[in-house]
Amino acid sequence: MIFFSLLLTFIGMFLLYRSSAKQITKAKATQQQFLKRFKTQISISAFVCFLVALSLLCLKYGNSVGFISWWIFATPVTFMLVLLVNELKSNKK
Amino acid sequence: MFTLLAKTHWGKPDFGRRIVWLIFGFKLKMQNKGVRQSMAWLHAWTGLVFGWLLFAIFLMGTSSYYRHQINLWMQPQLSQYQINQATAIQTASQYLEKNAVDAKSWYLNIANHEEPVNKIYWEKATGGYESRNLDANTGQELKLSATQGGDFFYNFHFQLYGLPILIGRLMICIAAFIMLIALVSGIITHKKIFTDFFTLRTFKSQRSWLDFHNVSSVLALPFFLTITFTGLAIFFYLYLPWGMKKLYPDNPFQYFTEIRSINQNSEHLAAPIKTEMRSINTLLETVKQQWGDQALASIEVKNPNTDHATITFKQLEDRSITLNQAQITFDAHGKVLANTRNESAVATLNAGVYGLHMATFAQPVLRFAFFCSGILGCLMIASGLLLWSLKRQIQNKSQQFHFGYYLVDRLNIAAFIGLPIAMLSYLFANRFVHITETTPNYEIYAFFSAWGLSLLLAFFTKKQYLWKSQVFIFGLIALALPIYDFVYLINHRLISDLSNYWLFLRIDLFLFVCALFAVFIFRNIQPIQEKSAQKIKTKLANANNEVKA
Repeated sequence: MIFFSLLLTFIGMFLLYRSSAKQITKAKATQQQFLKRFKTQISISAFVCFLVALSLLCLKYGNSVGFISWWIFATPVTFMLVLLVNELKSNKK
Repeated sequence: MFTLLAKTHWGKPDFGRRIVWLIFGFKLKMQNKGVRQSMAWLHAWTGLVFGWLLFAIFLMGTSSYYRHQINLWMQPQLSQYQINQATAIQTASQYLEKNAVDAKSWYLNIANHEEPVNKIYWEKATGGYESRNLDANTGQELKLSATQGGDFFYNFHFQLYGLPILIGRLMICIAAFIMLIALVSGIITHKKIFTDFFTLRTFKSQRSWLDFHNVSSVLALPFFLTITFTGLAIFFYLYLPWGMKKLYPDNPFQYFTEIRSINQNSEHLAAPIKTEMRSINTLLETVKQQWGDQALASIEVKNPNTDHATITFKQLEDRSITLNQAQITFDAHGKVLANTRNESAVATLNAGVYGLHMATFAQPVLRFAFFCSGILGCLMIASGLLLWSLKRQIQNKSQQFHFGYYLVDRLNIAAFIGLPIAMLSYLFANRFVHITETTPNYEIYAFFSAWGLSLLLAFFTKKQYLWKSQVFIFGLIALALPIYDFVYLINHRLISDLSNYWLFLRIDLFLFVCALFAVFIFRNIQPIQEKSAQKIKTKLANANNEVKA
């Protein structure tokens, strides 16, 4: 259950990342159109993912601990995502 | 400073104005700035002045999430004990009946898999407390190593070390307050919280540090706000003591007794009379009928062996934020009493604040996530301080030696690498010396000596070797310690099977990860430094060209 909620949080964060204004401008032309057109829907699906992840955690831990554990779990998951999506190597010329 | 001020300015017509400027200098300085700029100034300077202390608090506090595991690692002989809680309770209650029969209260911390020793203490009839560590199987007094274990880190994070407790805690409160100010001013300063949420540009000098500082701060912001606010709220009685003094003029600390439990003895006006109370073992049978084989955390007996006796059993597992794990209370005759826990709104709030800060509810995976957030807090503070230093070096248009920047650089190293080196030295010392009640605590000596040496080394090292030298030492210790630990455990025949070794291996693995992290920093610090140096050179060249033009 924890694994699924972590996965859903990761997917949600990734969707938010892809639909962010900065990423839309960087995306390929074909993707750009899609992202621009469905920006709201993608954001909504991201929040649905968060909601499901939160519900799973609430089922496991109870409401209060479940709520806290969601944002505590979201921190390392998002940090991993940030490390994955950004270029971390030095551009040696 | 004030003498110098008086010598240079005393008697001059504008002396008063200068003093006002000095004291409220920042206010005057901020008059022409916007809110965001003022907040940035506040964020930078409060962060700088308290940053090193906050880093130490955060790192020690983060380690405290695993203090029981560190305790066990530092007392390896305890890993040999096989625990049966029924036997542990029986032997401990026999000991108390024999040695503390007249006590006002008993408290038994029952041995469990994380702490395989019975810890008991009792309030003597003549006043004062006594405590013992008992073998959970035989009830014999144990002469354990006097190591403070993980409790040293835990205590350091809320009261420092070597200072009077009150002063130490007040300093921590001030630091927590400043942290809260730095967090709020940081939020106001950061213009693009959502736009730059996922942005991390590396090898771009100042920009990279700022990105990393922003990412680490924003991602764990709810954690930072919660942990700082609850940390500050726990010690409310230090900086807002008047309420308690007014309600409990004779003994303000009675508040803590009343906030935990409802006083059953208020119904008994007469003094307690000696009588034979129901034995703890008999009551344990009743507890088992209700809870099954649930592990127990503690047994608390008030007024033992009297007609006012109350015996409370508490479960070990606690999945609540408000610390309300299941408990059963009996009277002297074995009758189950109504709930004795104080469940008023204030008591629940108080327990909630504690619970949120200590995260006792957190199961292993969640605890690890808390630990990661704590580490992110350390990284946030470190990147903020490094950014402060780099930004000013880039802005400085002169190549002259600047003592302020030199000092900040060295203190940064002594805090960010020196403190972890000190913590590893503390662990290493544990494997070299056996501490008893009568010998000095060489582990703590090792901790402070290593920290001091790191600072000293930083002062005498050239800037280009500063990071590399200390990271190398850190990596070396982090790599050597797990290897040495394995040899030590084999030599002392402390490993009987894999599950037994796991108690040590989990910490050793973490140290190994630290060593890998040190290797990563060691390999990547040079290009980062080169990029920064290049940027500073370019700025200086531009400044020189402007002067020439």
